[in-house]
Amino acid sequence: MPLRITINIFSGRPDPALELSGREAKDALERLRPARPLSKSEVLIPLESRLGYRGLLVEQLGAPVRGLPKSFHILDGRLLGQRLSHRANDEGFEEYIASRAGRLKVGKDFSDYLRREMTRARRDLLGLLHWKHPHHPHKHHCRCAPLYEPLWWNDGWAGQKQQNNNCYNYSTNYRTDTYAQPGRAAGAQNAYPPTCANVRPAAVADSLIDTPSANNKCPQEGHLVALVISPGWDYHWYRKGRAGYWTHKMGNSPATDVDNSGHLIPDPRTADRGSYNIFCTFMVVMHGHIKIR
Amino acid sequence: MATSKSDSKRAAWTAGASVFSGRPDPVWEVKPSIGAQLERIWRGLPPAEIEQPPEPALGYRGCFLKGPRGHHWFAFGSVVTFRSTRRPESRPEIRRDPAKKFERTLLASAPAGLLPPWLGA
Repeated sequence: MPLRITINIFSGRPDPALELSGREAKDALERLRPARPLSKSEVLIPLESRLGYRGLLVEQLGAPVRGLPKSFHILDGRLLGQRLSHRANDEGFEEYIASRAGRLKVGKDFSDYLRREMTRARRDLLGLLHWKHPHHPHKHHCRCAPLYEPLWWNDGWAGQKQQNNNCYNYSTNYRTDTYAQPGRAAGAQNAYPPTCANVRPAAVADSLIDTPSANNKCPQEGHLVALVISPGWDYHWYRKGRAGYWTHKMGNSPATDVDNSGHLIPDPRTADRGSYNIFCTFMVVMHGHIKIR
Repeated sequence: MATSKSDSKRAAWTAGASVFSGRPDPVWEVKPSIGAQLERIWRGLPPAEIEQPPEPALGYRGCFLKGPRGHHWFAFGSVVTFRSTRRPESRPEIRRDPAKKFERTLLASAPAGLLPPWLGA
């Protein structure tokens, strides 16, 4: 039963692969035999989202042995594949492979490099086990602002609310199920590409109140929103919540309270906004006054 | 009016990218030959039992392919997820695509100028 074991470690160059056959392959399969099932938190650890060592891809090149699928992964002693989420019989299997990596024509210090990367991966995974979403404060600074209730908006990939309401709907807290566009309800929608100069008056036509001097301060009535632009392509809106932090919804994706770096948003002007690097203005939404479509 | 077989085939495959926030996301038709190529790529991908990586807050968030018979693929972050819209209650099938072959092929099928140049960055 020959095996091909690909070491997922590189980003640009192809990953090196080791072929085992005969007694060596038989020994490896015995080490890979599934032991105890993984707990839920162990299964959910992402394998792909880091640079460096990401585990081994094991492929059985002939008929697969009983209990193991044709191809599967192992990372930090965890076996993951079709109907497979178990600890390996030998949790040190990756070290066993590292000790054989010297025969790969990758570089003379590859075995050492691989071992260092394996250690780093284990440390990162340990960190991920304890990573928690930042705490969203409940203290109320903006009493008129909408509640942050993502579950109401986030009804899934096939959901009516999530799919048909964008950042403009979310920021104005106004569900239309039409993927609302600034100015459309007032017959004042502008052509693309969006700019501060054309989205701002379109929103004003929908009765949002332009308040460039708001300086992140809650209004006495209504709630604060903020307009940003990805030059030449798109616009985006945030809304300030009751706890003083900002939240947003990207197109038909779920609403969230964090920026591109995973941080809470005390001020959209300083948030990680990816390519939406132009901050246009703050505006006030007076509840019941606006009309969007 | 009758629709020709080739017309119905042309309409069978559509793709899109989750990339914008305010304006509607770009959607385009995919040639049946590209659709078939993407199906072949999908069939060759190894299974995975991992969740889709978290979506970034703003910018590119993945791309989808809708095929005939209610087939729906979503690709992002070296993972491709398949669902059948005819059986929404069924568990999605997840496969890994470390070379992002499915995602790259799908995005490459978009007409020139439709997608922003910073896509994927």
